[in-house]
Amino acid sequence: MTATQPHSTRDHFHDFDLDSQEFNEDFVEVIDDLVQHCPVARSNVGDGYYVVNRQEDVRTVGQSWETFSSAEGFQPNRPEGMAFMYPEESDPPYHNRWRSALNGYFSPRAVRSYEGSVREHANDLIDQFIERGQCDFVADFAATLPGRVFFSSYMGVPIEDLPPLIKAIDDALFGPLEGRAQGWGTALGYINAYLERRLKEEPRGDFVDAVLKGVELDSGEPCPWEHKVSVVTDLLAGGLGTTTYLLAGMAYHLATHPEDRARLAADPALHDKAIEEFVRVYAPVVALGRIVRQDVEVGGHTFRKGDWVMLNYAAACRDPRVYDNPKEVDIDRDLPVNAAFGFGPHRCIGSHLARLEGKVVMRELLRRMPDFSLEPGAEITYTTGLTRAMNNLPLMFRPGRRDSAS
Amino acid sequence: MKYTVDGSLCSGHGRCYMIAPEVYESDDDGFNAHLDEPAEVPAGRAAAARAGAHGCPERAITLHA
Repeated sequence: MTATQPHSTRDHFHDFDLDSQEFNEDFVEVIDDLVQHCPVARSNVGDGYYVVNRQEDVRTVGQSWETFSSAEGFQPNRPEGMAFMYPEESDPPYHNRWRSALNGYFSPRAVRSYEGSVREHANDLIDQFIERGQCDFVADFAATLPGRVFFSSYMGVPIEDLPPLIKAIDDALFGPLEGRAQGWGTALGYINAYLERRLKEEPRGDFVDAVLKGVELDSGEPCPWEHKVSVVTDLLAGGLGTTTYLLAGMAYHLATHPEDRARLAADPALHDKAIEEFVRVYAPVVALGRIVRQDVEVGGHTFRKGDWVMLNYAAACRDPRVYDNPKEVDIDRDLPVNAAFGFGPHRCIGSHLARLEGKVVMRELLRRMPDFSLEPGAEITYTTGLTRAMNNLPLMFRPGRRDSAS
Repeated sequence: MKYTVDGSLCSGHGRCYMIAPEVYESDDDGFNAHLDEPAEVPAGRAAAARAGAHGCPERAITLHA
């Protein structure tokens, strides 16, 4: 076993910690070791938890929602007093009522109708640095675009409200620890006020109206207002930083693999497969958890009632039992099922929107800054926990013209 | 050729009708429109039907005669 872990000083099989510096720094090597050699890893953090790594087991746990419940949240050692997020932190049937109410707004067809709007936001952001010939692609683009799409295109929030709102979310997700609660507070306050305002307006037939309409609790009562605010929060928490990482990972790959970039520039028919591969390699959600409701065996391990289990999506995406040469980034790979979006009732609701954003951004980057490369000497750093984030991505390119007159 | 979608597994992810819209369709809530009942694959669409079934993360779709 030690021979399989040459990269790290920590014993990630028996002493795993999602939040550890060793995991963050040796990330790819560790998840490759886990998925190849350790079906179920153990963590001793807090009350302890297990980590399921093979794709088949991640699917089984994800599908078996009665045995592996989300009703006590998606993380072990949950901070005291932290409010639950719906529908993510609930089980069917309540969970499925929300998904049924919202699915239509995130379906492949619904998402296509946002393509023009995504492209406008992307170009507006590129305009702000295209004349400079350099940018930090994370700060100047990837951290902002998904928030713009969600708030402006989906929720109809006025564009002038966006900068402080996106800043608050950014603080909440990526800022210094001590500022995160305040970031969430600001964002929640805005969402709450916006929903209250929309309640007084004529319905627009959009996603916000579906949230405001709400669904029934399992008791048959209408769900409380807090759940509606929470649904929006959940979509934010699940959809913004994750898409940021996908876009940053994609740009990093294109900046460092000019041969792939040239092929993609020449042949848009290759884009769909390439995006799918970037989702696999830059799987933004590392792992989410479930609590065990009854003794059960998965991956050769017997879990006991009350145990916490993390589903290691990032490792499942690199399972050699499922993918040939999983360590290789292969833009031609045939990838019908992407483990990065999960399995079972809680699988990512925004997968089609994430793909669309990836596709539009790839097209616009290739069109407007076709020669972009990594700034020499750039040191890219990451932050890892339940999700993975790229902190910076300094790019340089031949300066171009703004698209819009303003 | 027919297909059957297991209604206890279909979770409305939309992969089948995204990959093979000529075979699979969604209901109003995003789930496959034909749950738990054999449905016909249109003539000449067997390859698309297989691709759509293969793309289901839940392995909910079975193809049969």
